[in-house]
Amino acid sequence: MSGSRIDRGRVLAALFLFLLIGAPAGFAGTIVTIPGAAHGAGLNGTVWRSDVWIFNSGEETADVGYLVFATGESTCARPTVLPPTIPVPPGATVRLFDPLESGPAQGWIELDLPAGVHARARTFDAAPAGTYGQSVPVLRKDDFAPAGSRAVLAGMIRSSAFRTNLFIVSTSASCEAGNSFEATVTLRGPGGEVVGEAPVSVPSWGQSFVRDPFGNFGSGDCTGCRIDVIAPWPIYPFASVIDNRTGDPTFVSPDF
Amino acid sequence: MKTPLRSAHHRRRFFSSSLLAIALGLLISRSAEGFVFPASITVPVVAEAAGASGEFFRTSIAISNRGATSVFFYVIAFPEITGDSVPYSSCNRDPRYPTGQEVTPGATVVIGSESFRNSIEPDPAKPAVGFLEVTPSDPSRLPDLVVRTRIYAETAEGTFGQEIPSIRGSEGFLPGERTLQLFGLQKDASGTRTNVGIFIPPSECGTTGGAPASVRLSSFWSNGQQNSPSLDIEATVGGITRIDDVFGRVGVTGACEDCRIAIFSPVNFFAYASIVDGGTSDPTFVAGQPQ
Repeated sequence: MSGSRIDRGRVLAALFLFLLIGAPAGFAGTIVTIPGAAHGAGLNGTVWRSDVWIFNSGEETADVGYLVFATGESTCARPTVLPPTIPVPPGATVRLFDPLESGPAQGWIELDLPAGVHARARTFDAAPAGTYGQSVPVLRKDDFAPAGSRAVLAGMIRSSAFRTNLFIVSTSASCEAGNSFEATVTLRGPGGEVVGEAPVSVPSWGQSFVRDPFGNFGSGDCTGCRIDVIAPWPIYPFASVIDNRTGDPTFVSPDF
Repeated sequence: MKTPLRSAHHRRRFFSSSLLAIALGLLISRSAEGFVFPASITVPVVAEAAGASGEFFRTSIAISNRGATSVFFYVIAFPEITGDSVPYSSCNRDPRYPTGQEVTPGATVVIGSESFRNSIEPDPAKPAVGFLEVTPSDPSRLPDLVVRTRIYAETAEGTFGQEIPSIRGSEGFLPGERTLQLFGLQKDASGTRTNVGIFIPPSECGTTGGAPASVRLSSFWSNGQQNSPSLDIEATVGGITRIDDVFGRVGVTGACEDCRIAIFSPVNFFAYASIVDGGTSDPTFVAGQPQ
């Protein structure tokens, strides 16, 4: 039994409505962030997609608002309008299929969750044999590393078999910095030695993507390595370690 | 030939290890009376075992030190309790196998499951599934440790696997008498299935006297209707209890798309689902969310 689901037409209609009324975002409930999502081709033949599931534990239908934003763009100037919404009946779980299909190839999502409504997300490589994927957490304000704290991503790998990508998501607080701010990314080898360091521009209330940091400003291949990120505003950095052969991604959350 | 105590450093390690063993030993006999267990980071499930489709899963754990000075830590592995295993959980913990190691500032130590599988299951022909505690010798150094875990299968075509979260201290456990929701779960004709794990921390040993806890699983279609009678299971306290193909176990015979499992426990717990893709066998970890 498949139960209720949001079909593609409905999502497109919602996106059209969203475009028609101009832009983001008059949320009224609890705003949560899905820090990464994708719809597009990646390296080594990978085909990335994301799905979102929304469960309503309440006793009345909940309208869940959602907005999709592109990587690399600040959203501080977003106008206040009503976002498209998804009705979720009481007790039901609704899957939002491929929410970036008509949007950016890579980005992040905000959801407006009424009380008693929960969400989860998965980004996956749609391989010919099946899927290889990773869960992506749904973040509340407390899940972001405080300003000035050091967020640590452990167990990074860069080799012929694996690649690591880094993402940094910021909150609305960083809009005070203007359109962007700098985070300091430090790469450490297995012995703790610094193997690379670089400032990374993070769009305020947006998401920054750093492809292959160990290749771009590190010393190349690195196993059992680490990424430290410090920023003057709250951030949520995460990494995706991808097996180059299968395309399987593993989500690495920060510790701070 | 090197001896185990060839330097002052190794003697320090040996004696630290012995002291921890003694301390853990004291906890063995009295844990059910409500003692506080050592401050630790829990990895709720680790494995070195064959999967249902013939792949072989291993576990890799990266332990990093974000502090300014070295941290000495122990990795203590515990087996899951199954029907034919000895009645052995972390409530009556056996401290014979703590593996001690030092991690210097900024450094990362990577430990493979081959280093602890014997603590879980000495017979290499049997699956080794259990959980781990990473415990600093100085409890005040717990915040300095970062633990990242991946369970993966290695095939000729590469690896696939899932991230396993770390649970720091008592964080991450839902208080008893509450329900965790696992939603967006799958079962279909391609072989896609959902396995569930329930972890009840050792801190609950005193609550039940080490006896199992009766945990209720309820299964729902995506439209919210319950699709089978609720199932009560006896879950290990101070350990992990796994339910493979949870929808089959509760009695759902056909497909179950975007379904939900609600788990009610009388004691503090953590629950997760692992959705295994029928085409690739790739698992995706789904953490339970409190209702």
